[in-house]
Amino acid sequence: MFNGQLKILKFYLDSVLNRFLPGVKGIALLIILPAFFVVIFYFLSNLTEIFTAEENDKVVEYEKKFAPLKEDLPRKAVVNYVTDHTEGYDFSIAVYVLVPTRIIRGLKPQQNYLIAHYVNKTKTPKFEGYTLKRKYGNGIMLFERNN
Amino acid sequence: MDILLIITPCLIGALIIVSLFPYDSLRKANLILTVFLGTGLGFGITSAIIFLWLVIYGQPNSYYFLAEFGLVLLLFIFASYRISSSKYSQSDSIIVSNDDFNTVVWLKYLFFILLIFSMGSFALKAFVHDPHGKFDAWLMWNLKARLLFHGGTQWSYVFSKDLILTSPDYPLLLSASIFRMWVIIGTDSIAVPIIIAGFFTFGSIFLILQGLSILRGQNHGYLAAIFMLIATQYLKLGTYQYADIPLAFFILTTILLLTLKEKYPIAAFRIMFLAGLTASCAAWTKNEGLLFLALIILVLTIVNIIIKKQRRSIIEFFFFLLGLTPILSTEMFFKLRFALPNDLFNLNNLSNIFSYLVQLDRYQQIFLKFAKKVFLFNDGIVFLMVVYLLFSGLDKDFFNRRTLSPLVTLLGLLFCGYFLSFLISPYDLKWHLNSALYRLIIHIWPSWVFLFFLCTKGAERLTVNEKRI
Repeated sequence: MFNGQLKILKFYLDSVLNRFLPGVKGIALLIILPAFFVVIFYFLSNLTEIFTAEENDKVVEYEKKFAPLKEDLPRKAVVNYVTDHTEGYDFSIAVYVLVPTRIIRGLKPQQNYLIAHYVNKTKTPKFEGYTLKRKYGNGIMLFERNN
Repeated sequence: MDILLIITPCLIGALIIVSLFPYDSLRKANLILTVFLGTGLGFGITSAIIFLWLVIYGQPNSYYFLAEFGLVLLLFIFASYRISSSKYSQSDSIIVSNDDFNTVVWLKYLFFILLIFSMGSFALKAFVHDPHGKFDAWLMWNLKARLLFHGGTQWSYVFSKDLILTSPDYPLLLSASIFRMWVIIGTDSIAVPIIIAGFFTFGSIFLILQGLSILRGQNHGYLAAIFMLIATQYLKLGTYQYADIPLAFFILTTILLLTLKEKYPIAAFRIMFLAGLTASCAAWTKNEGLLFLALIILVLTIVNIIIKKQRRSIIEFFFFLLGLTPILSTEMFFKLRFALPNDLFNLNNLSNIFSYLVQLDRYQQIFLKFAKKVFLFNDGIVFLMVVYLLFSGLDKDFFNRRTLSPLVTLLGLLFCGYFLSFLISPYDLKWHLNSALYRLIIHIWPSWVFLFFLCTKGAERLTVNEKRI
């Protein structure tokens, strides 16, 4: 009795499926339905993420911040870099955005130029043997070694 | 305009395939395979050539592009000769689509609609949200490409100890491909790494589609390709511009070619040569690819030389090694001449490694993390596969094939290799597992999906005529 009803239900569902999604067995729905919803939802979530994102990509932000400084730096020179940034990525992004200039973290070995990136200090820092060449805003400063 | 940059690698790779399979590779049904597999190979070959050019002649100039064009011309002449001579001998015809079933048209349309949405997601994320990619992308691959591009005569600074964070021991397929394209357009446009990432992300999906279409019929291919689109973690990693996606592409192509070899033994030597090329491209992409290469050589040695012991299988293995030669020798040169020692061995010593190996809690920690990451990968997509398998069942024709067990063993061994690398990792284990494990799963993911759909029953409904057959 129960088996008979089950067979009728199965036959009915099978015919409905074949009417709307001809050529495939019901098993295909296990893939097609999640795919349909996941792909559309993923697209919409990406779309909303772009419009609602509060902060920009860090690298884009650094590229904008460091662009004026980059113009003043000698190409392929080695330059010291000091920062009070607590995030580990700061130095790595600086290395990336300042190519072809090569930067080394810290004050040693001493080079002709020094970049200071001080986001938490209001007073201009001083470095022995260097004089301030230019301030670029956003805590970015370029120092030149005294002759 | 930027899309034109892919044409030379595509032509080089595709013409190699056409030279090997002059008649079959150009058939309409196989063109997708020729184009995607060829372009991937082309990226591997051109990146190796430009690296060698840098070493020998310095920054590439017009002569470099003349040489590249010369290679295309040479391959074109050779391919044309092969096509004209094969017209008279089509007895070795292979690789035709499996036409046992009629293509379900709406399934095809559904795939393309979902693909457009997925590509839209990719473009939004890659071009607007993370144009430089995520951390590893800009710190390793794109930074190296920038240093090569802007480096002038001092390009080898890219392998300097000052840049230890960028893993200077990692191979150069991705960085050199980006660099090559930047040289062509004359500027370090962010569109280039995105286009390359997009090619490899969706290239794997097209390869699964076409590979399964050849082996199991188009409907099965479309279903597997739709399944790939559910894995948003895979698509997301593509937008991150990580080298894990190209590596997954080359692992997939190697597995796919080894499967095709079993179906078309008449073309075994040529397919093994191509498999050698793709395996060496995997090794030229990331260090994990070197592990894959070592394991595939091990598995093929056991299967072809120790188990089969036939003259033919030994020659097949020889052709595989022959395919490895061009790119692997470039990589060996790079490793010996430029690369710094790998962190795993540089920061470790034998006593450290031994002490890690006897710490049982490390095994437990890694095992639990592996199990968690695998089962919860992409919100538990593995369970969807299990349910699908339970309802559809195994296709015994394919499951019982002797080819499948070596390939599954290969992927299993690769996972064991990753397990071992975590075990002897000099870094904080928790941090290392959290930052790297999900990417390692992605390496295997497309190949796993391909093998899964290869040995499960299809979901197509037989027509009356097909039932009669």
